[in-house]
Amino acid sequence: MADVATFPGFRRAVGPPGIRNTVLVLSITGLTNPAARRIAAQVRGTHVIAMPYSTGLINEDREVHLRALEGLACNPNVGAVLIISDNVPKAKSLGAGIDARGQRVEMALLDHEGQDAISLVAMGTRLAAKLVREVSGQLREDMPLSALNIGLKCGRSDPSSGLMANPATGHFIDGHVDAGGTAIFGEVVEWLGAEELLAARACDPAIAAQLRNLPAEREVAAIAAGLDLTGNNPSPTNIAAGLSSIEEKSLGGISKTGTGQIKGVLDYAKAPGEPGLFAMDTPNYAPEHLTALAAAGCQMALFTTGAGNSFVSGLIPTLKVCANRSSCDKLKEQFDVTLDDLLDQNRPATEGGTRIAKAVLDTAAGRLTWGEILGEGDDIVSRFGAAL
Amino acid sequence: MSRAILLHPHDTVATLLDRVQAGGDITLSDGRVIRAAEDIPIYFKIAIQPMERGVDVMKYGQTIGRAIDRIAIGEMVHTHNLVSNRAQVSCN
Repeated sequence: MADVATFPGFRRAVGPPGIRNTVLVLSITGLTNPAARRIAAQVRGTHVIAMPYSTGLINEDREVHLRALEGLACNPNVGAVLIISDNVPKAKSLGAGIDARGQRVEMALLDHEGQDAISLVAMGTRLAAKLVREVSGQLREDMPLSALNIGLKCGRSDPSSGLMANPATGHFIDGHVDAGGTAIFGEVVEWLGAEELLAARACDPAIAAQLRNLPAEREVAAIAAGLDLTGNNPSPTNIAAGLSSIEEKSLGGISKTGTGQIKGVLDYAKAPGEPGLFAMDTPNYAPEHLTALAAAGCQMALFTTGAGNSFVSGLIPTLKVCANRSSCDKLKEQFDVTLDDLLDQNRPATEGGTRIAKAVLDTAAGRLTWGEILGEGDDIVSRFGAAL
Repeated sequence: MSRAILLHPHDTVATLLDRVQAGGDITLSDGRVIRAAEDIPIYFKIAIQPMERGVDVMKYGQTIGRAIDRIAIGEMVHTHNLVSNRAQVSCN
């Protein structure tokens, strides 16, 4: 084989390698969330995702809910999953889907524990401990860097984001996708004012139309709701930092997607199924957007910021990239990649891209991000309608 | 001297790389020098040509909204004199 760039990762029975080897304690029903949190708190090497909803979900809302649960359970960073639930048929159906995708799965169910949450925690703790012991023995092996699916996000942006952090990320993404890698961006509202630039990069006219229509639908919804976007997006934090309109924010934001062809537009939390650069129909708020990326199989996210933003995905290491001079001076335990010196010297963004590539490799190989170290992660699936 | 980045030849605003005080000179990345009409914070936008009310304000070679007031060279451009053209509830 020719020189293929590799990283030490975790091989999976099916699908791309992981960059972490977590046992996921996945509460798929709101009633069992407190028990799931107690289980995870007791067992080292676990991560808990606690879904607050279940009964009464209908239509698109139900479809997204189930797709996201299965996607999170099968994320490459998950070595094994423990389902916790108050609904036996739902748990069995989801468990079968996860098993069919080659993922190791166990379950602890409230009905099997006589409706006793204390027994559920005891059973769940034993199962989680067993799974951690199993996965903890797995060694990292060389895996191709091109197997990484990298999610993109910006938050609490400022003008420095558009000048350096985003274009530097874009340069890295161009190289990653050219080498056979995958990347996903979303945050549809933040395409307003930049739709034509995105549409011009679509690989066919139907995708170009989607890249125009999705933000147009958001614009119509905002107007119908009587919501003045300025002050909402851009947010008060964006405006205080110097961004004046959604167009300015969008034009700065899309540069993190690089310059390559956009292969498709994915539904919320849907995996792309092939390499390349993809758009996803997501809301822009970080918890909802990052969770959609994790459910779609991203192993890592690149998250640019100007003013600073502490939030990360709970499941996928999220690298914070910043070029704002005073933020970089003040927030020493937040940014994994600082580019303020490059912006200050008006250096080309390609130099920032090289720095990001190094941080991506180190993180994939196991170095913890600030967000992981400090526990700033959470995972929140979007809702798309009211429950019955 | 303060510095500002001009991102595109068609742009009507530049982005400050250093804060500037009223009367201070700013070197644009294309070599031109303009004078600040007011105090402007780092990374904020400065008008590099006069703009009439209603014209599109250009950054990245694209429109980022329109001027809602006359804007002179050297003035700060932000939400007090620029409004988005998108998702506006009250059209004026």
